[in-house]
Amino acid sequence: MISRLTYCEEGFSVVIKDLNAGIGALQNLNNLGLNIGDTIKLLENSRQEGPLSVEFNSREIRIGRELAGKILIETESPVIVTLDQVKVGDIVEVTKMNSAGDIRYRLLDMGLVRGVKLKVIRFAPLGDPIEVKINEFMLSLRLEEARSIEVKILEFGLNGYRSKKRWWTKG
Amino acid sequence: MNKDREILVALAGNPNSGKTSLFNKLVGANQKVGNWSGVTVEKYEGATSHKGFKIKVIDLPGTYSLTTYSPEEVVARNFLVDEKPDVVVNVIDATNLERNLYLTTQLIDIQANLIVALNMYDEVEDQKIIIDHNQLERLFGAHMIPTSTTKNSGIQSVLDHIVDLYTGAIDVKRNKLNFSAHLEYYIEKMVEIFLTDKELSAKYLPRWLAIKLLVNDKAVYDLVRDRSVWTNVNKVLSEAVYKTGNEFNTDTELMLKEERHAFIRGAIKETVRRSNNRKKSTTDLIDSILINRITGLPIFALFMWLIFQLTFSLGEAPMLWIESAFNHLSIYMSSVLPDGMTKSIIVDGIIAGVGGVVVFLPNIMILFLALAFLEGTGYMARAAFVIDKVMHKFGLHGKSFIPMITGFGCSVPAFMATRTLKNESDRITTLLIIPFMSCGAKFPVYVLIAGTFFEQSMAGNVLFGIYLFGVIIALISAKLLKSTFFKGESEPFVMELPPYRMPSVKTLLFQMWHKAAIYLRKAGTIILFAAVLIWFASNFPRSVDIEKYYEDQRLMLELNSEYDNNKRNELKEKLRVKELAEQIEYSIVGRLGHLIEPLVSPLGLDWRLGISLVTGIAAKEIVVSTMGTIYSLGDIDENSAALRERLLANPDYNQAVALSFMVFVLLYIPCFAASIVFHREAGKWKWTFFYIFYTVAVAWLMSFIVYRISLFLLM
Repeated sequence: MISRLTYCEEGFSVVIKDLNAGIGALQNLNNLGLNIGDTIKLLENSRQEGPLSVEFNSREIRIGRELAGKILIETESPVIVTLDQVKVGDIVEVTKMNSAGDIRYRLLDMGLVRGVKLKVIRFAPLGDPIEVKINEFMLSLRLEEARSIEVKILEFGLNGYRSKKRWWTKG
Repeated sequence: MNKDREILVALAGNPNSGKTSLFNKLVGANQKVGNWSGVTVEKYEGATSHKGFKIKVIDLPGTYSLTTYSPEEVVARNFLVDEKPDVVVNVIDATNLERNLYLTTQLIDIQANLIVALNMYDEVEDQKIIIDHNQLERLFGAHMIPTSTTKNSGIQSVLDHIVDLYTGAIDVKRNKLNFSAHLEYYIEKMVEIFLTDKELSAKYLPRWLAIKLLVNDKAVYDLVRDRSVWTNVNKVLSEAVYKTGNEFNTDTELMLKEERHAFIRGAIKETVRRSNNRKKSTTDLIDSILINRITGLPIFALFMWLIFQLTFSLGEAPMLWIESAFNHLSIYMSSVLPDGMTKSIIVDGIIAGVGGVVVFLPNIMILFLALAFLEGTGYMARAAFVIDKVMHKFGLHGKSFIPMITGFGCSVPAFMATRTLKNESDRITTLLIIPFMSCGAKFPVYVLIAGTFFEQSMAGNVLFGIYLFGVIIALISAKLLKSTFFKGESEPFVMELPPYRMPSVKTLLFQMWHKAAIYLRKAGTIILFAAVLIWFASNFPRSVDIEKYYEDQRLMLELNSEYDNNKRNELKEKLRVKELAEQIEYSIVGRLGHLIEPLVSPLGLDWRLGISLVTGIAAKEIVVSTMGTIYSLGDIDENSAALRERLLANPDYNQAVALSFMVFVLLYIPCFAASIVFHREAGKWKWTFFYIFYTVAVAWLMSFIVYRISLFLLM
């Protein structure tokens, strides 16, 4: 299935399938010396913030988190991430709750149990908290709290992403 | 009326389930608001009669669950478990059954005589959702009644059911929620042991105790751990915990809650049909404008500005009316009453004191109307969502923002607005930093002092600096309190963003009136007492010598034939004012001013400013007028040129003193009325004492630092 570079585990080699973004992002990628179709190896992915580090042609390249989130790759294993890493539009399923104490009580009472499906609606204007749709209602939680929830990505919210062909790319 | 014919009904339900609207529909205006004992959670109760029965309705606070997570949940749960109301009406938002039914399953656990009001049923029909209530009734073992407060339907049916359930005309439906065989095995074993403790099992349902122990409920653990049965129960519990971990690789709490949710999910699958072609809801549409990444913040700022403007600009006119009404009253009373102590205590003590409190009423009513509107429509949760990141940096919650900005107008409504914060540590922290948000009453003091000691071009900057300084101190304090007293006690931000709804005007007005009533009740009691106390402190003891001296002076004036009547009156007024100044210096307040001089002199302040600070505890409006009295100028305001001259003429005063004084006024205790409200909202004496100590200590320290630095820089 299609996945994002940011969701990828460290140490894996993946092929850049496409970019879920406009021509500007493609140019940024090209400026880094990368192109669609290249095989890269993920060296470093902090999963929360800061750039990612990949290896291409035995050269280390650092990619900003923003751009990396738009890079689509092909993966076989199910993608498990923590809820703070998801993108708007993603539909995910809760697989594990690592939180403790009051917050655990509250999340469980709100219905955040294993197997429940969430849709990522939006991030607050300042980037935190996050709003998700769960069982017909909207729930907001801080990224700090979302970090303790593991989810499996069921569907990527590729806003506007339709075809692999772009009219501006040659061939 | 026969006591047997009174039915005690509790309304329980999630926040935003329309519970309050239903409560208003059930009991109408016949309701009162109080406080649940021991906690700062409002208690609404009302009564109505139906078919010859008196029905007393308690509106429990809105909760998602019956754990002991928040004071609201504790209150709701204790009432349900300890008071055992005759009937429990569980109000649920029928458009959102999955989450709302979770509480219902817990009400089943306590075997309440349950009626479920499927509220907002009109929206269910609009959204073309089909609910099979008969099947839902069978599954949950409770009567389900579709209701709608906007369409005014189902209300009578709820009342009928309450009475019929009480009289036994219809059966109480009961059903227990069955968990998996694994859990049931341990629940039953624990129940057997609990049944041997007659006293405990008569008071609490054994099954409920067992279930609560499996989800690590601390309150239930405290209930049973001192009983003799505990050793045996604990054995079963430990085995359950061990086996669940070992065989299912999970824990009992998680397993039980997952099964609860699974039961609900199954029930819904069986009974609810949603139409497939759902279009984007209005809520989604509004949200895509109100809280999107670009417009979210500006719209938030606009709303906050609007609330502030409405509260304090629109409130100004009625404030002036109240002020002039009290003025007229005191003038009238002055003319009616004979001169003397009684007149003074009534006019200067009681009327002035209560007037100074009632004057905040328009602010409180407008602010709480606006807040009830934001809460009722659902924007309040969005406001917290938008600003939480900033507030969280200082250890605060997104909901702390509104009380904080309200503090710029007046601390009294600001303290009252902290009720939206559910977590005690968040609420106390917010309460403690509100005094640093410079309130409107302090403004005249700054205008006088900054205007006197700084050039016109600088005065504005100084004023702005003072406000900014207050905000900075508030935020630093929040961070400090959160990392010391309330370490790690921050409320997790797990909040529902409810669908936008138009609240009914009646509900809004009720909420506004309740807030006003609470405040007025305070004004009528404690604040009245305090007003008399303060009056006493600034009038007693009186010096007979001073009185006699001025009596003689006046007599001499009368006998002096040089002056015409006008001149004589003018001189008489001067004498009166001078006498007032000397008497206030002689009084308790004046003595306090002298007494604290050694304390305030490191800040560059003398006894005159000291007295002003002491009287300022009553109200900040008095600071300027006290200065007028001390300088024998009579009744003056902050623009008085005479007072400015006198201040400038004092060789001990300079810009450093001016800054130090303003900083002190900015940071120390707000007025007396605010302190009373603080105590009410904080709920514990410990916090009130801390609040007094903390604000005064911070004020002293900051004044000292500002004074020393500015002495060094400016001189």
